[in-house]
Amino acid sequence: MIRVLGSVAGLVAAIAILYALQRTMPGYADITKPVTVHGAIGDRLMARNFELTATKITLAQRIVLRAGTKEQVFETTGLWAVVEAQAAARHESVTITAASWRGPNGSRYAMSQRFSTMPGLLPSERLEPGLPRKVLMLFELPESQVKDATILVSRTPFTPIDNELHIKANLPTPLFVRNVARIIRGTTAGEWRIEIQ
Amino acid sequence: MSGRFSIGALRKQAVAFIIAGLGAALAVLLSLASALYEASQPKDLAQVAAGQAVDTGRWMVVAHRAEFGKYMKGTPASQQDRLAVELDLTNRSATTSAGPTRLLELVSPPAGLQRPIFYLARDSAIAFGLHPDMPERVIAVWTWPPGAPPPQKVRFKVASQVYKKRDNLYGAPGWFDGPTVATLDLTVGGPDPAAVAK
Repeated sequence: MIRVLGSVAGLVAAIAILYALQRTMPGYADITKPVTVHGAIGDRLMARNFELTATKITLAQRIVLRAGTKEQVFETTGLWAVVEAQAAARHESVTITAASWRGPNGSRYAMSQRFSTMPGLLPSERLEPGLPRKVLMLFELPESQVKDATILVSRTPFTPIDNELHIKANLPTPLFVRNVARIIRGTTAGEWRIEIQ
Repeated sequence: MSGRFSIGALRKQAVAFIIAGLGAALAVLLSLASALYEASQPKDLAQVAAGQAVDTGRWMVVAHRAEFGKYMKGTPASQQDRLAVELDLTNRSATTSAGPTRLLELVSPPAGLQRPIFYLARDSAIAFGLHPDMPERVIAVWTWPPGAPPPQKVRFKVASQVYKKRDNLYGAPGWFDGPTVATLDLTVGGPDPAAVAK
């Protein structure tokens, strides 16, 4: 009798252990997830092969790109977030191709790819060690995802066990949304400045 | 000496094997029969027309109109005839994604038809990134093979995309092509007069 009870108990225990193992097994995305570096706006954050300091976030209804006398207007159904940053490589030249805005509900808004001729965009600048550059990241967001967000920056969109910067984007309430963020191309390559209206 | 060889034990073992075998055979037959039955009873697909919303899993789709020609508002100029369908797309997943080229498939396509290109209706840019929860008016453009007769009415199969927490190869989460969820009927209008005049 005791023997039978013992084997039944053993079976139940085995099933429970296997179930627990199955439920808690990390998925592929967990095993290969990036190593995060946390910080806030204004912090100089170090990743394995680049460093970046996000300096300013501006919200705007539309973005205007001015090159010479020509103006191009970019509208959106939500808002634009213009993030300015200083970035440099650490050991060798590098290009940072992935940045996204993670909203409070976890949705990730990748950097907008609607600008083919915009100067200073983070993915189009090659960063060199010791030469910090002023770069731009432009995000298109619905209004509900602007508060309590995190800006994620990594070298490539899929960075298994490499660094990803998590920059807390704390914006003051109420949100201050500008009418136009005008990005003006300078006379030398890669030079630009922002005018806010 | 009774444990060394016994007809009774052998028979017991044989009976156990036969019962297990019958059980397995029954399970195989049942699953085969249910698969055959499901395949023989095609589900009635929803039939939608212009203006009706379809939930395809990853995308919420509303088709507005179809047009055929060389000049179209909202797309760059082209030398070739094209079929364009104006859509509202809403990305219901948690990440930005490019326009879904397998979303609409013509039921009887002309030979040599390629997959469509999606343009943003607002500024004719190629729709590289459609963001979560941001409805966007896009134009899907199929370049029509030269010589193929122009379409009057088109019927599309609307494909779904389904989320898997763990895929079969890596166990990674992702979106995968799912079954057809609806058919979409559109009447093809001529080119937009405003676009031709431009």
